[in-house]
Amino acid sequence: MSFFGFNTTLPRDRAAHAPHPTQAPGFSQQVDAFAGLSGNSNEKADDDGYDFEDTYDGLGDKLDEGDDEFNDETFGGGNAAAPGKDFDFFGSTAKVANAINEEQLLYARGPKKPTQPAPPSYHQDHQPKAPSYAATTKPKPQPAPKHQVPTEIPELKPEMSIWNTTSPDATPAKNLSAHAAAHFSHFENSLQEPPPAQPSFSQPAPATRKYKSLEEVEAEILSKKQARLAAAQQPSQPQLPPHTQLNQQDGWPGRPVQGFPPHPQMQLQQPPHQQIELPFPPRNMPPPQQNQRPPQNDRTPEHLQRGPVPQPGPGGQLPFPQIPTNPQFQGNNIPFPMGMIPPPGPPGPQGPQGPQPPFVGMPPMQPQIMQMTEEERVKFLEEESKRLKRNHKIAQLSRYNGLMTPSDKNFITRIQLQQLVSVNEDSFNEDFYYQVYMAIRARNNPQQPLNQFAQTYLGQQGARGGRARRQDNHLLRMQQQVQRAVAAAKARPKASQLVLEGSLGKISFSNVKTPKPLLSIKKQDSTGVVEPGQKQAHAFAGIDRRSILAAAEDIYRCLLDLDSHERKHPGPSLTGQQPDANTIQWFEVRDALIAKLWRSMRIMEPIKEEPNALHPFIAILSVKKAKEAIPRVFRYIDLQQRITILTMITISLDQVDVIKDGRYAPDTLSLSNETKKKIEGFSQYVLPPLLSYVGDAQLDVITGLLGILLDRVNVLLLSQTQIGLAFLTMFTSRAEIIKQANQADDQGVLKWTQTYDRLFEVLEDHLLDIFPPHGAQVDDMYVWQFLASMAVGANMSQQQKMVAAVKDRVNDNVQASKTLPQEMGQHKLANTNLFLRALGLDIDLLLS
Amino acid sequence: MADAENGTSAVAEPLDLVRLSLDEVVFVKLRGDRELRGRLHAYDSHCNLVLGEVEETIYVVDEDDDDTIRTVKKNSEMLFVRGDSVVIIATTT
Amino acid sequence: MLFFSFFKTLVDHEVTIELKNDLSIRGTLKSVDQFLNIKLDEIQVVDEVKYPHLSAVKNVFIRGSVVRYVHLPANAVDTALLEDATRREAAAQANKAK
Repeated sequence: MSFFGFNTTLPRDRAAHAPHPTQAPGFSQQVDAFAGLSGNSNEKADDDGYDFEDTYDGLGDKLDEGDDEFNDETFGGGNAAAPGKDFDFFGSTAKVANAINEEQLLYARGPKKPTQPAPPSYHQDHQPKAPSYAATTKPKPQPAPKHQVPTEIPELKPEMSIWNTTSPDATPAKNLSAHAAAHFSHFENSLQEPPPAQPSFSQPAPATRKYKSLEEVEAEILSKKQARLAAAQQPSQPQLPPHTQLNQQDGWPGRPVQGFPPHPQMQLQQPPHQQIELPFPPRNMPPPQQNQRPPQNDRTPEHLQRGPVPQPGPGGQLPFPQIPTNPQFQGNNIPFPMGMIPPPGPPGPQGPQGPQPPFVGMPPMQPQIMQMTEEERVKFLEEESKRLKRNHKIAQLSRYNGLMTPSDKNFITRIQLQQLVSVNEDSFNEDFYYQVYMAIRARNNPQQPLNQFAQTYLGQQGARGGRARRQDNHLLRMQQQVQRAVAAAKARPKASQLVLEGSLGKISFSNVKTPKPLLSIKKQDSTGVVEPGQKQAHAFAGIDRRSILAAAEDIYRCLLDLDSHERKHPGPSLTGQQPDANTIQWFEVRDALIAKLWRSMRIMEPIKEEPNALHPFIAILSVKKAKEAIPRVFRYIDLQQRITILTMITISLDQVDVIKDGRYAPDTLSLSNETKKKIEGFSQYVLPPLLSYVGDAQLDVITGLLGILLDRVNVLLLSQTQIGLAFLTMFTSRAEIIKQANQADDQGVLKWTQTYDRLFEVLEDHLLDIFPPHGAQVDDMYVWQFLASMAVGANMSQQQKMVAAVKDRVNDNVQASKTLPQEMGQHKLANTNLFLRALGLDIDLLLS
Repeated sequence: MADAENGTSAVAEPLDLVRLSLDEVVFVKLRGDRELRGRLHAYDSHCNLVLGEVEETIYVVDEDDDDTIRTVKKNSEMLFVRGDSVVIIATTT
Repeated sequence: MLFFSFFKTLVDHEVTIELKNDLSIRGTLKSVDQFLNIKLDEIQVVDEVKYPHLSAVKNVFIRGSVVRYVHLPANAVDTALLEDATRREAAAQANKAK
């Protein structure tokens, strides 16, 4: 025991390197790979009561202490001369330390040549050896760092520094030799945990290396001798030692057997390094060595006597003379065949490159490499270095193996996937407002491609800070339609209108009273997917505000779904190409969504016949946001659905809030603010899409719609509201345009004229009532538009009636325009003139 | 109720009620004796709000005048309201 | 994130922030973060007489939690879009809850 110096060194060691003993359960104890994570606390807890005996597994007790008397003889402690200077580790090694360093440097320089990429392997080989020198030659610990310079594998660096730190531990037992130190380091090794987290992490691996290096040193001696013999005997005749390759496979595991009983945990501890070095040890150690060294020898004095073997250290400078003696000596104690096996081989590859003894730096490789041709060698070295690099990488990566359990990994993976999904899917939703807002803003730059989403909102851009402008826009469009009608009428000879009137004669009311409705409301029931009407009816049995709001939100939800779906558009398929499955599916989903949207509008629910029954759609339409949704709905629905909406609104027009509340109460000059806003909203959002549809409608549709109005709705009441007049204007002006463009057949024109006459009949005595009250601060443009559109279609007598009815109003306007500011006056005159021109007159006639 | 039948807009949680009032005029009671009336343009789960055409009413105890409560009214065209001040969001009809 | 997204569009617009301590600060919105902390530039305290202590300060960082109101320029807000964004947010929240 005392031989190992544990009793003396350990306490000190404990002071200096507390981690070592605390985590040293013993050789065979299972190493907990994660113990290091809590290592520090462990350490403190055990510190006091810790003793070597506590952790040592007692193997040392089995040692034969009786042969200690030979220690001096073996190590030259008492009488250095007795066993020969070969055993003087410190002395002789120190003498040659410089030479070793030089050689190492030289060697390091040599392999850098491009033709020999293998150097790394040599270095690795070499390094363990160098540290061992450092450990034994106290005065010269530097070689290691120097040695390190050429190393291409950074991982080995820490080890070097360790050498310097551990050497003090080993040296106290002065006579103990490197072997003892190796033993100790082995202890360290097994004691120390590999955990990366441990502060002293850098130590374990190097410690192991210290031990290894001893073996390698032995092997080196052998190789050197081989090399020497080969060089002497058959320098030009390579001979392949078969064991080299074989050992690469089985080599490392065999090693512990050689020096120590196998320590599984040690193997476990250092897989990284093992993997890296796997190839080398075998190369260093001829198989016989392994076989002949029984594990039991481990701590026996004989085995310790082998200590001198590593002495090859000095061999750096004078390898040849000394080598013969070592094997001899060993031969005395154990059958160590090293010296007797002379695998001949030519000098190493370095030979040609420098004068230095080629094998000094890299003896292990020589047997194999020497027997290769230059090409093979290069190739081999390349492969070797590649493999080393790869192994090194694997080793580095595997250092953290087992840190996470599979469920941990699973958890992390789930988080990552979730983030991925959310990045793709939610990012747009999360930042929706900003993205779309900016896209719309970017439209100021026409170069900017139109964001598909922004498209939805572009139509409503006017809503932002420009309600009035939008309103103007709508009125403007209406005006344009009226103007077109007026212009067309003027272009046509006035006579023809009269002729037409005259030729038709008096239209009988009995015929017109039941005009055939061209639009069958019932027909809507057969249109596509219909939700169970019963349920819907029930849902709206009592139309409370909350249900209406909920229904409006439903519409929006459908719209948003559709918008989102639009974004996933697979892209326009090339013309003439069959749409792929994706596209087909996309359209299917789109159709389904549109059907859902359509249902959400409740427009297909049956119209109740009882008076004052409010249709669900009309009820929903009373909500501001529902009005705002109409243009967006129109983007998705087809023509048939558009006409259904238009018809539904037309049928229920007197129930629509903007009509119901749109009349001026007696003796009031203005509508309530709320109603104004509603009218504004209706004009802004609902009318334009309807107008654009009507703008393309055929005459029979217009006739039908107007007929429905006349049949089912109080047109007189209608005419006294802005929106009601807008509808009438919409129909009459469109009809005139169609008529004058000769886009309708005579039958259609006849029907239209009959319907028109009915309308005129209803209104002719109430033309003054359609104006807003005198003094109301509103733009009466919509009234003049309506009058103009009526005038265009009117026959001579109707025109005369109209002129007579509104004559005062025209004069009022002309007079008012003179007192008003220029701009407003002009506007008023322009409005009035619209009507006069429809009659073939001009305001200038009145002004003059 | 209608909500129960029509699936998509079922009011599953309180804020769904607020959603129905989007783009409608709502009444909001705040900490510090304040009330708002305005059109709801946005809300989130923290009851942060954006209201348009807001009229704010502040109830102030007038210490000079026998602790009578007087009201101060303010208007704002567009107002963001931090949710942690919000006490009640009510729909108006 | 709705309001974070919303405020981002208001960067460089002039806003008036009313704090919970009744202090009102007008300034140019320079930046905002997810907590709705706000940076204002070229600030001006609305009631300078009552709160003179900030008169020398040119820009401020306002912790989001002390804000009561932010008065916004209406023409910088797209209400229809904002309502849609709110609906999306609500739907997303509902989906998360499920």
